[in-house]
Amino acid sequence: MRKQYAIAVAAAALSAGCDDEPVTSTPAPVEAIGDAVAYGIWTPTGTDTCPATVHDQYSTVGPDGLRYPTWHPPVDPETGCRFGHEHGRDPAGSDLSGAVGAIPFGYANQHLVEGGFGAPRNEDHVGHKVEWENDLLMSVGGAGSAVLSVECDVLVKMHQGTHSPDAFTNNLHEVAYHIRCSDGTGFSATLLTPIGTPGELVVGCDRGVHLTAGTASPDISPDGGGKRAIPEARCIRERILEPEDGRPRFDSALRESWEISASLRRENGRVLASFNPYFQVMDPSRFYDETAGSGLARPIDLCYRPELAEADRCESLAGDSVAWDDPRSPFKGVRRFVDINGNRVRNADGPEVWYTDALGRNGRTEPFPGSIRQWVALRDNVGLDIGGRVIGRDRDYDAPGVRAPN
Amino acid sequence: MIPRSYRRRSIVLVVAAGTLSPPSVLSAQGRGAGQGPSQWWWSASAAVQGSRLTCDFCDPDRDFGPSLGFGAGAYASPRLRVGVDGSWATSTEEGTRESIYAAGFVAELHPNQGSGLHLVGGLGWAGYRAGDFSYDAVRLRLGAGWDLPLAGPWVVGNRLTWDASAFASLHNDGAPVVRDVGLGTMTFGLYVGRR
Repeated sequence: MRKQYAIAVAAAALSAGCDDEPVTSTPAPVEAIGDAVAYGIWTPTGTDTCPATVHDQYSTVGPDGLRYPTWHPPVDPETGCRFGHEHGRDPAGSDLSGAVGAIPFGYANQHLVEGGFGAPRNEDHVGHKVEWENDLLMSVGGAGSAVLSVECDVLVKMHQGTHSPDAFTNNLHEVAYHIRCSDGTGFSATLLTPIGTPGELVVGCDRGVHLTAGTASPDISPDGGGKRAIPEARCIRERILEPEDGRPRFDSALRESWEISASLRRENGRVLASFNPYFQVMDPSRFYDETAGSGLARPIDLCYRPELAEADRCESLAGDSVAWDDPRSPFKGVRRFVDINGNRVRNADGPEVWYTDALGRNGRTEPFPGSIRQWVALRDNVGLDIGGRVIGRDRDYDAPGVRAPN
Repeated sequence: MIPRSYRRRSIVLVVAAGTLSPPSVLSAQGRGAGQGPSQWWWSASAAVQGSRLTCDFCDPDRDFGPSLGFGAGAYASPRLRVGVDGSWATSTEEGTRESIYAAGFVAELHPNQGSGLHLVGGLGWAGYRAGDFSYDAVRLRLGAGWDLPLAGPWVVGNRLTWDASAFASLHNDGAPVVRDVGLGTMTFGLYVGRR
């Protein structure tokens, strides 16, 4: 199984010489010429029992010839060791896995500077989360599926770390988004997308409140559409510590929603494809508290309060005091779901293959240094507004050994 | 040979009915002539309609809902009625209300004079609305019905009609989103009218 990951390549980013290949072809193996920045950065800590050497066997070679980490199960099936983190749903079950191949984690990060951006942006390993659904009956034009019946296969990978202060200020996050629909809508996009305003977060329980949390890294991060709605101390106070009816509601207070407004654009700025998924995480292992160091506070600390010791999400602890990164903590961000919204394509005249920079901009028909190969169907679906469905709502990715940071 | 008086009256009535005069008014006008059997007719119907848009990725399910209709006109001959008709049908799916409108010209032919059986043919407009979706097309109507006489000029009856439209675009918020869309409806219901 690990060998399979080691040789698989993302079709969404095949080299220029493969432009004529159908995107549904199974990617061919590519020999690695080196390691990407994202490769080999995970090492075991705490209760993790897998050595880094086992972890690093779950890799794939990107179209640039570099070796990248990719999806792996939380428990290694061969040795039984535990990685202590999970990457979501196994993409092998996706109908798009054959076309997309293994998803290289950190591919857009790797090419950001080479593509002309003035500073690097690298993300940790555990934050890469995969979600997918096959044959998803979409809502079209705001009328559900009552008028038009469009089914889509969706495979997404988002870097959504919910354990550190990173997203309090940093708005550049890597997303790989693959969709194929029965009406001909489809695209494969890999990019770093700015989510909201750099240096600023939106209060999760009051979206009208924007808090300046510091300086983004990199400090030249562009503004983006959408928002990073993150739990803040006020949400904890109003919904857990001092709820009006006396009943603490952890799910209401501790919920992150990263609402993306991403696009691939031509060199002239015209949109080729755009998408607006909302990535949501329940029980993150952090919330923002401006009085804490780096603004980082831990929900597990709430369970140490006598009045909450056996309430709601703290109940499973039965009064035990555990650390924020203990596998027994319920706050590790393993409950996630994605709202699939606003999948728009404007590429009727083609071609299907475009090369953009790591931010999804400056799309050209020929590769250039630092460019990422993107695929967009020959289709205009303006007016259809395909979306409106949720994937993963009932899934829980907890597994033996999984803990924050996850 | 259709009597000239029938033809002239038919033309006048079709034009007049097109101005959306209420059927009851037309009927009253006809009855007011006081010349034996009326040369005017009208009917109102309640029915069940099944409808389906057809295109490459239209919802394949047929939607059923209530329908109301009316028709009014004049006799072009003792066996042939002509006039205008219109209908409205609605159904709800996934919280989306779908409405189908129709209006146009209609002809009803009794193959055998004195028999209640009549054939229906028509040409007009069909409109479909669901949220921001809209569809407008030329509509062809075919069908058959059966008149059952009541007292005097009054009749009740049942009728099965099939409407078909094609080659038009489905719009969303005014923008065409799917081309070559068809709309088919089957309607079965009861009517009451005056002959």
